[in-house]
Amino acid sequence: MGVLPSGLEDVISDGEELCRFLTQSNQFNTTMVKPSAFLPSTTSLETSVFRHGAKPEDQLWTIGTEALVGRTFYGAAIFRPSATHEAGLTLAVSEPPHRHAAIRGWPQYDHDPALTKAQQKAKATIIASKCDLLLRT
Amino acid sequence: MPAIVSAIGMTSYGSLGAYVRHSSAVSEVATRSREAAGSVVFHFEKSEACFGPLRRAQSELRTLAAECFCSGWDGEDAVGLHPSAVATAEEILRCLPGWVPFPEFAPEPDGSISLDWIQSRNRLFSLSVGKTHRLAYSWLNGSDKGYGVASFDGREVPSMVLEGIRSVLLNGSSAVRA
Repeated sequence: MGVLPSGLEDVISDGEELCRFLTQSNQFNTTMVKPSAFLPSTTSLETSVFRHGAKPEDQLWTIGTEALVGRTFYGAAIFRPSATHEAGLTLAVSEPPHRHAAIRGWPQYDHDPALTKAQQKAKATIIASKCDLLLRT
Repeated sequence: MPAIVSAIGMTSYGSLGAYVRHSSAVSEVATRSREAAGSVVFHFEKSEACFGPLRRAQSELRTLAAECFCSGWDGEDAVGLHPSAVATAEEILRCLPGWVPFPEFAPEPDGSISLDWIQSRNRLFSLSVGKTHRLAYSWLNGSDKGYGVASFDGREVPSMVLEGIRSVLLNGSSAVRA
């Protein structure tokens, strides 16, 4: 097991918290983070996340501000690796930037985009159901 | 005017709207019938009592479409929302039966729009509307979950989708649309 430039170990432990920054106000409501917030990029087929939990909160927002290069974001979805495992997906470290990780293993069927999307939504729904929503104040 | 008579005889407003949007007949009678039906739809939709919630949902959808029109709206490499996805989502709103509350909307990275019926974190139905009329959906209902694909013909919301929404709303507290 090695150490990354960020000082974190190069393996994501089950006890860690991770976050997905929310850059669009429709990605959440008062109840939850919506599944669409976790759908993967169409080019990389990954979902970008960071290895940081809800606390300390000021550090969380600093990471978001630096990662999104000043772009407005509204909060973060906080989750544990077990959520991605339950969805049948994997987590991998992906630095730089510091603390960056990626959710991988999303289904992709070139012959059937709609089926691809349905299966991706099912997995994103599972992760979203396991998240805590933390909004910037 | 048999066409307009049969159009008004349709069982739902959504069907009448679909007639206006999808009828491909080109005769003078058919054209006049379509115009008359369009007028009925237009004036019907101006009724706040009947269509206030629909107009609000359409407004929310169009606001989202404007916010996410450009690529990169997520700060990454998301595709801008497809105009055809917005149009299809509007058609679905018009075709929803009265017992279905209007959904929430969310953008998706591939330019699709998610229509979400959310009761709680563990009870939700999510429908993806993209460039085509093949609709991907997933749902979570307590410990039950699933996904599927259904085709939307522009006239009726697929029964599988309605059944999924109904099962999620069952035992929930969402108000039924007036």
